[in-house]
Amino acid sequence: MTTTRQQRLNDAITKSIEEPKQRDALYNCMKRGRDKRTERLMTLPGGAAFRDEVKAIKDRCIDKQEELLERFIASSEARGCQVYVAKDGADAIAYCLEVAKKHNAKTVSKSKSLTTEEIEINEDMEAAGLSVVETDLGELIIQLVNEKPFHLVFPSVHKMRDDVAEIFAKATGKPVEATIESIMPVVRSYLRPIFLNTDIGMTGANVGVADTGAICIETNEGNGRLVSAIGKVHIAVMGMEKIVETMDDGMAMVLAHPVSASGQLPTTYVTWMAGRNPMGADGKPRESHIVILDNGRREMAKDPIMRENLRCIRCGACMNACPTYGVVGGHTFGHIYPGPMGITWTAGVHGYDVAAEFADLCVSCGLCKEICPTQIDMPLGIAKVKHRDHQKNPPSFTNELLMAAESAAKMGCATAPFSNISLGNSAFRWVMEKVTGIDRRRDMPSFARKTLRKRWVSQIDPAKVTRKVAFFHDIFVNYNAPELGMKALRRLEAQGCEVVLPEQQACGYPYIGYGDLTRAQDAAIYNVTRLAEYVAQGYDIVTTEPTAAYCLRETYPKLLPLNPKAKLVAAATHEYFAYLMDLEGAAGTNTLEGHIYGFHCSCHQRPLGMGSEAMDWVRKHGGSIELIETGTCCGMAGTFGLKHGPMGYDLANAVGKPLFEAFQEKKVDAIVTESSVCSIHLKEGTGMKTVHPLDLV
Amino acid sequence: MCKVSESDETLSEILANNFKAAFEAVSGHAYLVRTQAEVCDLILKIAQEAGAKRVALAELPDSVMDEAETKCTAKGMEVLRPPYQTDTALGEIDQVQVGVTGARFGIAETGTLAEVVFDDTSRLVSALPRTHIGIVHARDLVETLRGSAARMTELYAENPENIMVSYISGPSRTGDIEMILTLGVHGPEHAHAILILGDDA
Repeated sequence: MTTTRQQRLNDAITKSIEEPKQRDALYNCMKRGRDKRTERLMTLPGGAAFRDEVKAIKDRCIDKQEELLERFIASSEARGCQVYVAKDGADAIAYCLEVAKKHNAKTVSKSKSLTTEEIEINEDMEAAGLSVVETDLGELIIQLVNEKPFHLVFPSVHKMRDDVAEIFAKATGKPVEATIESIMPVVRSYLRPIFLNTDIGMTGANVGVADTGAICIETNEGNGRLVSAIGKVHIAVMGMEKIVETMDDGMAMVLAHPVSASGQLPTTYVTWMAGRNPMGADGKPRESHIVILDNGRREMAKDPIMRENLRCIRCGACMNACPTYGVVGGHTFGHIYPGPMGITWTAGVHGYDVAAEFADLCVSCGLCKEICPTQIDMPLGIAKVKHRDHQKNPPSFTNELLMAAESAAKMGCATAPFSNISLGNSAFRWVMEKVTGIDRRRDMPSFARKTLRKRWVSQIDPAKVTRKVAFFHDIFVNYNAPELGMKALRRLEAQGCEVVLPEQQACGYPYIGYGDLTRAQDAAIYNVTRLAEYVAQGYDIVTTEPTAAYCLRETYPKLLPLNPKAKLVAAATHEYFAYLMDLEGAAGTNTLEGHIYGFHCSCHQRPLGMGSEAMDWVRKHGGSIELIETGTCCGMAGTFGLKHGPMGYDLANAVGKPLFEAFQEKKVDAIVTESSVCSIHLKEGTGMKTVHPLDLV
Repeated sequence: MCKVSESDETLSEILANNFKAAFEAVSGHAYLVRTQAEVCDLILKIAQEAGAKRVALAELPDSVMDEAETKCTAKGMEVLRPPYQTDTALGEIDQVQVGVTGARFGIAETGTLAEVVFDDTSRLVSALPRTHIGIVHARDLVETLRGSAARMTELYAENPENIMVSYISGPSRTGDIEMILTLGVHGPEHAHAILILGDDA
């Protein structure tokens, strides 16, 4: 049964797939943002390590939030500002309207402020008779057509020059030629009188500094300067989490923000406002009001998962990495705040129910977390949004089935070869698609009659043992590809490893993806408890599945923050090729000489080391191999791409298309990947041979 | 970043060259000069090239403003200088083609002018005209953006009331239509930075 929400998301996905112009514009915008960011990182001392520093600063300031709030209020009042702490949007709006009334204001010019969009202040100010104009070009474009931001940093990226020319022709009542050179002077002369006649200049604040009472307004266009200088009254609406302690903290944000957003350093105009200057010779003080918004932020601080949201600096980097956002854009993937952060932030400020309306678009690839300058664990936060939603709206049958994939695999093995014959039978697959929601076009891996666990018998001479390995097989090499598992383990034995297969469950990452935190924790406890016993006896944990390595290393410690065994297991977990290369060293063969391969790094493998050891292993056997990537996901996202329909197979293929093309253009002999699920998707998407590195040699 | 070719080049010259490279990388124009006369000749040249009828000055030493005014008025331009009157400043500065302001310090790494003002008419001089010229002493350049925090902390300590600091790195820019970099959407389309080496000026 399809719910209204699912239907709405499905329709939106289908529509996006059919609108290549808008999708390509968004794709190019995101790619440019990612590439420019990467380029800039190379020039920073320490490169991507600035993320650790920015995260530490934000964590420190969030820990001291109430104290810093008091200090900020005291120092900015000492400079003549009037500060108001608003508990929610309505409170903030009421305050602003009061200020407007007091000054008999008619016009409000705004520079870009997501916080004012969060509380939808424009609507209420207009209802009170004020004329409100967004002066950031992108924001103005969408204001004129009454839309919400499509992208956080480039709100009007979905509007092409013809659209924009038409919008301004309508706004000015004069024809506008559809070239950028013609549009710009029109915008300039349209906005200039609006700037000059501003009663209230309204801005956001990118940073507030407790030590000095200064706020910082970053713009590239310079509209923030005009609005804050000209307005008879200035109002800044600032989220409580924007307050940092020192100028040095503030400067770190001024660096992190544009670098992460677009690789720029810094934003063209960075205005540090402390108090408010008079205008001209009369020297009379002018008013500046700083409205500090709570609106759910204090609540977020109390929740260990949602607390991380408060580290968000609104750079938009997460949406530049998000594969599904890249297809559907911010109107579907967002409420007011778009993209991955949009889900968790919306949950915090607009409520879990609102966030749940688009949370299913997250496929839990984790790329957002990897690009985030403060390393916010968005996938976990989003899992929480889905989890809470499931109390009211149970997960679909398909999602339930995919979460319980291990039971299905057990059944598949127990009934092999009949299960495999069925999977190859088109009539069966048609029925299976109707019943389970697994797309009939997917080439499903076959089930082994005898699992790896049943096959594995250690052959090593106890006298030769130099290392002890507890192998975490997860689903694929146990149930579907035990031969691959045997190859992997025999190689370890050959290097003096005693290999055991501890009792274990599947890693459970799908529980995070489909939003069942209880069962994710259960799986984590089950595995951590058993694996920790081996670690205590000196065993290293090794796994061939990148997602399993990611889960053990990154996810379990987060799921079980108070369990010291989770950290122990995380520290002892190794990716297979990193471990093997360490044992084998550089000595190789020439088996693969003359062959050229393209490597696919799965999303979860990225933070583990980009698969560099697997590639080194291919190279030392004479093969030529290079990483081929688009900087985002292949689209499969675990089992997501197995699902029939827009929210699955169709979206997975739309996401994967640029990567498929990249592989096809390179004319490699085969695609090499360690991920069992990416492998299915890439093989079908490219029609190329797709293999695991161990199957090459 | 620029190469240091002469061994006797001072630190401020190195920083000035770094500044120039960074400022030009963000579509600005930067010049290294040694004397006040050179500064004022440049102001005149830029104003003439901009076809300016009116030029506004702010946050500059009187001697610079005097000389710039003399040179520009000699070429038929009207020169506005502080104090600006509260009631008329906005309208007047809006009609100016070139705004010239002094910066308290600069940042070499990023090509950033730091304009420190206590009267917002000065902000208008750098924000409203099509062309902005910022002037900074090379000896007042700090190396990095992060490093400028120390300078800012001092400034705030010395000035306990209202103080406005604007970091300006190049001309007004937008990429809001099809991600294509376009200059001068609201503020200056042309940004010039004059760096003064030595202590003459």
